[in-house]
Amino acid sequence: MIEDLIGEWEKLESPACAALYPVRISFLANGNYQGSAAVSGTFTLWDVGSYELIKDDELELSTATDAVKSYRFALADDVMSLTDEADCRFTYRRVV
Amino acid sequence: MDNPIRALTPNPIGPFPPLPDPLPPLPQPPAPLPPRFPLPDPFPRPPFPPFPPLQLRSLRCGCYLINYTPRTPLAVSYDGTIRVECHSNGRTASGDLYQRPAIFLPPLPIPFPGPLPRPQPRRPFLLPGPNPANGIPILSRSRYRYYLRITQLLENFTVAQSFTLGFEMWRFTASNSWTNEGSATAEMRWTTAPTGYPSPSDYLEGDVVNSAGVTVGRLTMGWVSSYLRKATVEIDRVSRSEAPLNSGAGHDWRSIFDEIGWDLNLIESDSDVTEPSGESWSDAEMHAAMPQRRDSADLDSEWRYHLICVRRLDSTSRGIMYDAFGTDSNNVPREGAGIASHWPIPNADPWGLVKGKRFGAATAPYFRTAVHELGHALGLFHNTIDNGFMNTTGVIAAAGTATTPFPNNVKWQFADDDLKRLRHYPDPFVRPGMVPFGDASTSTPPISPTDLEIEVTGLTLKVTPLKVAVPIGAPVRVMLELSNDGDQPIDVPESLSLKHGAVRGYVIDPSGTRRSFVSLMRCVEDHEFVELKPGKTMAHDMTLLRGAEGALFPAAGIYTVVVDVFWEVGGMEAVVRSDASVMVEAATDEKHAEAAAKILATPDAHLVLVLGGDHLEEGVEAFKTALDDPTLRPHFAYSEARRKAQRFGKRRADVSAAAELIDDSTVMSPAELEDAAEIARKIDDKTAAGKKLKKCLKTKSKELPMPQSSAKVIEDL
Repeated sequence: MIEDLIGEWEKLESPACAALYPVRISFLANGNYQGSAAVSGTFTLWDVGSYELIKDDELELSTATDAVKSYRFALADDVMSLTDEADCRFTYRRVV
Repeated sequence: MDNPIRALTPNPIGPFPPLPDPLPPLPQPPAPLPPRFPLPDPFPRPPFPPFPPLQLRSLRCGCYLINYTPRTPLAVSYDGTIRVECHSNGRTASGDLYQRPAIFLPPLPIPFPGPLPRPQPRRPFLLPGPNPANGIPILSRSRYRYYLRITQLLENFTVAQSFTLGFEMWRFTASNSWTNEGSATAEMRWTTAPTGYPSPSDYLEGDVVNSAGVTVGRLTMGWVSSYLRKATVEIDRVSRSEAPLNSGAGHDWRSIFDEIGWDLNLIESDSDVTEPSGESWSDAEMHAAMPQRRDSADLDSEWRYHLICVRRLDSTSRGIMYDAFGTDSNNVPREGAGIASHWPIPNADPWGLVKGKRFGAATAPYFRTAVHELGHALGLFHNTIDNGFMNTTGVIAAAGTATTPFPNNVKWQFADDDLKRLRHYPDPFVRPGMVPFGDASTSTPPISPTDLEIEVTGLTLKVTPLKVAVPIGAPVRVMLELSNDGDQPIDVPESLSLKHGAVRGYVIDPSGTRRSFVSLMRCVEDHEFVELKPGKTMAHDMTLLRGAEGALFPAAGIYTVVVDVFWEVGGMEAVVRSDASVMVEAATDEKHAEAAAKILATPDAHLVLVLGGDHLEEGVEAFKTALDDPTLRPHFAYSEARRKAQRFGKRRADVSAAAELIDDSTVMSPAELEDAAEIARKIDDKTAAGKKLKKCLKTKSKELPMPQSSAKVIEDL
């Protein structure tokens, strides 16, 4: 299942509550990820860190403060849907 | 009032101040030394002067105490620092300015008997600037005003007595808004330093000229330290956790911060921090432990960062800069971080030489994580450009190889771009308790403070809402008390009533939008001042409904009402400020909603509230709608009673009708109660309405914090 995550993703649906999540994110095979903010050099909550698929529907990522956060997760047709602890839902589409 | 800073030619180029660029070298510079701190001078003065004798001068590396005083008769002056970094390409410099506080001097004794002069507001007096003998100054966060992006300075050396300093002035507005107020230059000339500077020959002065060629002020700069900045790191730990003091390979806090150019004071403090709920700590528990165990907490006199070492962390494995976002419950960002000594490093790849170890026993990565988390407290984000401190442990471990396994592949430095940030970021980005972690553009910037404001030491303003909760559509009544807590009498405006013109403010709604209010009417005569003696208080109240930007309380939610008492003194503005919270409750039913909508949408309703009269028909109609609604009626009844008690055109005053409107449920402030006494005096107290009104007013006066004189007016009815 984790293989399904590896690759590059682009933000598809971004409500205002999801503004701090990166516009692009790469999940690497070694368990790390790298995110990119819309404007280079500005802050994004997922800048660099590690990720782990805890359950089929739960993804954990270490965030910009090094806190590890848990997200509800669903993947279908190369679209990844995530929901944070504040119930903010946003999606990414696979690009690579 | 003109602010000379604003005479600088505006040149807005973006919301955030760009860091200074390295300045281009002059042709054929001598070879510089490697950049180590304390910074050596790459172009040292020759030991023997050449013949004919020429004095070669260069700008010494390190921190300069600076003062910028605009050319103005007003008591405005700024102190701060300029940081001069020496490197292989010459010099990079940046600076920060904080406005110097001003106070009022106590009155001079009258030397001989004679007529007392008319009370006049005392003139402001600038407090002394920082003492250069104390080295790098630490100035109050609330006084921060400008980032200086230095674009031109002496790169190498000169035989002249001066050099041109060029800079941009970036105005800061909390929490994180920046405006370029223009470019300026100053021909900085070496001169002998005043007493107290550690190096009398490294002191310069020059007039500041804006891009229009106008001299706008004077700048002084005197070298005070080889370091660029200074800070304290305090480490507290639970007894079973190690203090991360070094890498085990020759790197410690001092050497790492020497590299940055920061004068670091490391305090290894408590070793007996109590675990509140077992071995693992939540972010909130660490945030709560910080103020309890920290040796000192005055962030306006010291840049102190706190590191707590615990066995485990709830929110992550190794370390966290917890003082951000929701955990920052005291709204003082980036004060502290925590690390976990008992995280078991996986006994697997890619953990190299430390696999299977307890984290605290793995000296190098444990220490690296402590510096990494402190880097976040310094405002830095993750940085994968190399294996330096701000890369993540996971990324560095994954990059280990058989020949260079983790942690041997750790780079014991901050990446070059992070080094530049730590040396040249504006102070609010790096010092604790200013710009929140990661806060780039999402906050709403409040109104910029004016530099012509003076804080009045000794005066305290208390703002108290008459009702903590009011229904939507109702005016908010606020009581003001101005007290002299000092030991000297202070001249203050004679009245705190809105119409006297010495009170203004704004309301912040639940979404952060602010709406200002001032008096609709101003007394035209000269404002008088009274002497407020030590220990004395003056009081008044005001009724708020609309401001310049419309209804002040247009929706349900919690509002902050900010009030300024202000007056002009010596061409500047003295301000005493305070605030209070008010809850606006949602409509109770459809009728209330309809009445509230009418009040909120009718600007003239406010005019009727303030002026009375019958001429503002829409306003009077909105008032009637509010009076017909049982929820809003108590809040408008007094204003309507006052309107009815006043003659208007051919309509006679009807004090009986006015008296009928006021009952025990009527919401009235102390000042309104005193005014209502006027209605009570006009009505025949033998009538039932008269008796009822007087009884009602007397009852209410006992429930409210009435000034003594007002209480007596009611009592005498």
